[in-house]
Amino acid sequence: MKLFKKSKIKHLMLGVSSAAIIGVTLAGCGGSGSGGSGTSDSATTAAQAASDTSSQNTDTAKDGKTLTVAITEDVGTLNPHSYGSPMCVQSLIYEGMTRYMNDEVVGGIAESWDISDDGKEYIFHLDKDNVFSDGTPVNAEIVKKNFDAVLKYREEHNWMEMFNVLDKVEIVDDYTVKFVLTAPYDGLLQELSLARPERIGAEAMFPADGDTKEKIAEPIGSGPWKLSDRVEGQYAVFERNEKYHGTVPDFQYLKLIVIPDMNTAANSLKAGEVDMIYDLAGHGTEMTGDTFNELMGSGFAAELSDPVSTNTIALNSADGPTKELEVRQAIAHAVDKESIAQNIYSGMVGTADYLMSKDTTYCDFDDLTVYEHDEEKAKDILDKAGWTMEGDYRKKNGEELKISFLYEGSNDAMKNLGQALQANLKKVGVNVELVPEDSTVFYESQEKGLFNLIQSETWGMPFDPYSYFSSFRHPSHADYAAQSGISEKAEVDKAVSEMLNATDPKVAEEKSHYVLKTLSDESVYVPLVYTQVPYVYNADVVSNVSFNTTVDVPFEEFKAK
Amino acid sequence: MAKYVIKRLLILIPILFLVSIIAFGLVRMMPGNAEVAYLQAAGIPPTEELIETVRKDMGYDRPLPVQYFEWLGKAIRLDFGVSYATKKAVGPELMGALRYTAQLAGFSSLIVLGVSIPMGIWSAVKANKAPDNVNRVIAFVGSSMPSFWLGPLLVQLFALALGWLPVQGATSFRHLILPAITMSVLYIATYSRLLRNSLLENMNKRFVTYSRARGISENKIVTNHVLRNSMIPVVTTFGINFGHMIAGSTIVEVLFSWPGLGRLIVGSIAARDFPMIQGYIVLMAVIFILVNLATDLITVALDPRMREAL
Repeated sequence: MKLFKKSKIKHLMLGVSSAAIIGVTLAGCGGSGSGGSGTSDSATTAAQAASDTSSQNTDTAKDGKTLTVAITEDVGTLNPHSYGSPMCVQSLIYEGMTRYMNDEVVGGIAESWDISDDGKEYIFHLDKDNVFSDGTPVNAEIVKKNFDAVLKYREEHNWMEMFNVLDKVEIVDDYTVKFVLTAPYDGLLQELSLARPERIGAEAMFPADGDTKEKIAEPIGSGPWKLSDRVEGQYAVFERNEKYHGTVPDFQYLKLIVIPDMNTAANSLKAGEVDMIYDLAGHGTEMTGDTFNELMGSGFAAELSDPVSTNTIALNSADGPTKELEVRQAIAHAVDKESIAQNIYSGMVGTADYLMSKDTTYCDFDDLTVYEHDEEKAKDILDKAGWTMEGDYRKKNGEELKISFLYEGSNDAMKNLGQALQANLKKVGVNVELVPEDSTVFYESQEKGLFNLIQSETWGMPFDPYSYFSSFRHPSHADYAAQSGISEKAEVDKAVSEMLNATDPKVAEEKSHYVLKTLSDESVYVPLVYTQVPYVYNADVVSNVSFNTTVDVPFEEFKAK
Repeated sequence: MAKYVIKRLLILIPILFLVSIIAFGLVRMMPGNAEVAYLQAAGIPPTEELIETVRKDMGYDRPLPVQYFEWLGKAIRLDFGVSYATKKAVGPELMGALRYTAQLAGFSSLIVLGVSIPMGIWSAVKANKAPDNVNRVIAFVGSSMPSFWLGPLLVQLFALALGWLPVQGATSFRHLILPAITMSVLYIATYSRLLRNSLLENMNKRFVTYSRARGISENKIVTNHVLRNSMIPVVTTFGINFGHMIAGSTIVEVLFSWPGLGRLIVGSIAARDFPMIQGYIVLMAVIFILVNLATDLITVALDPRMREAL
């Protein structure tokens, strides 16, 4: 039976197709208009301007004046006194009192400083020629106003030791301010370089009530860039600040495009939509070794920063079999760092012997205990400790040597590391159970010490060693939980406090030595590899690219080609 | 009909009330400490004092019923609070993202209809012949390809190899094409087969034979009776799936960096941004209810028997 008449069907199909095509075209036009002009509530966004500037930037890019970079999240609130923006973005607009560059603290808004003998007063001398991007002066009055706004909510920032000891900021004269501390703090200058929450904004940044906790009026600072345009969730364009008192950027525009997925970012680089991608979380976290190597093979410049922090395994000294020193020492010997560096991190990074890199302030010691990879030694230690092999794993008093490795289920790098540890430790008779958790449960579990092994990382420069050591004393960190079982924990915390408050560098070094020596003797950490920031860029567009921290990107130093 | 629509809209009220309880309850039942999640998402190392401060700031230290009724009171006035992450009002944030997701889902729907209807008709016309078999294979492959695989393949071909379309972004119509195609393929496979089967089934019904006996032309039988009847299951399924397109666009949005609801909510869940998650659940409920209502109305328009049942 013939179901349909051919001619009618043709007409029908034509009709449906035409309707669909017309509909699609209409939707497309709508999509184009609203997509191109997509705006947010941001006061800085103008729909058409965004679209116009976008195309304008594409043109300037051809002239080598726009650097287009992929970032994983939106530029956020741009409030220098809160945590609503990525740190690298805060640094574009705002300056701190000091700046951390190439492993040392240099002047920022402050040109120079004097420290009182008792270490409780810091006198900062400001650059008299420095102005904000709106032309208003960077003087003592505005510095005090910024710090007063931050200190009003100091309890929200007390994870930084600075906010526990900074009493007040006083105006000495128009271009001199005095920071008065309740106790000396050797890490003050380094912490003043951090991207938040103590960067300095202009008067125009303050809302009418002067309270910057929730919002600011306009993102105006004295940094190398100023916000020029923005479509929230999509991109932000920064124009160089010609009034910047440091090195004025070579590029006229810096366009940050939000691309949450690193594979998409890599494809975007290949397609020429962006000029650079990077992974501030460190190699292997978002940008895999495969992606890095593939892009390098495709002709892009693919580089790694110098080591910026240390990737470790923290062993919980207060819970389960890892309470025993011998078990922790055996684990440290059993872990094959070289293999992990090769297989998990694609051979991109070097292995680490110490918790803190020797380059870190007060951390250059030769007598710290280093646990070489030695399976036989690990077995011997466990044998002597009474853990005997029964089948695949060891037992003592009928209890199996079983430990947990807690990790974020969505983090492939952590999962791969867990599997490597599982294989390494099985060779010496230790059964490792992998425990994947949602990120929130992961952090809660590490806070409560509900793990035997956990991946940990030093905070990196410029947080190390001060802010990181300071965190050892707070129960909400995995470090605290991991260290809490060792008999010297109270002394370690005391030594940290004494180091932070030391006015004599020798004392600070001595205390730091005690902390690091104790932690290595007690085998609380297995240092694995040094974290390095991978970055890939189009060398035809940009040169002089470098990274030296996990939080800051010195875009103003990059040169246009 | 008007009475029916009003009745359906009135039912929205108790449903949304229930949804509000579920949204609030589910969010509170999520594992993990919301204060710690908030601090971690903000990049602030949590300390005991900070956790306590955040708890008070967010009002988590108060009894749950107090928190619920305070939220509900504001939500009734369409004030869903302020996002913990972005510090902006939840309503406008959700609506801003919804616009992009609606563009994506809307354009995908047009592609789905524009391709699957001709494909379905063609398959029915050529049932069990070569074109039908080709369409069957296309449908099989299309329904087997997950978007996280198909998306990168399309990018490789159309963006990187041919350079015709952009890899990511949302600033022009060209940016919409690849994500919309990625999203549509699965549905094209489903609807083309659904329509084909429905057409074939209806062509064997007695009303077709009767119509032929009455001397009605084949053309009229197809357009006025068979296709119209065959569209009913397609419209019903499409109605349900349109809601899923809106709610299930996350992977495509992340793949193509499309700033829609999916991308927004993934970040919000990770940061335990309760106001945003609650607002999202309520918005999704409203969308599903309205889309279902629209589907019912279209079905009624297509099928007079349904009209009589109202």
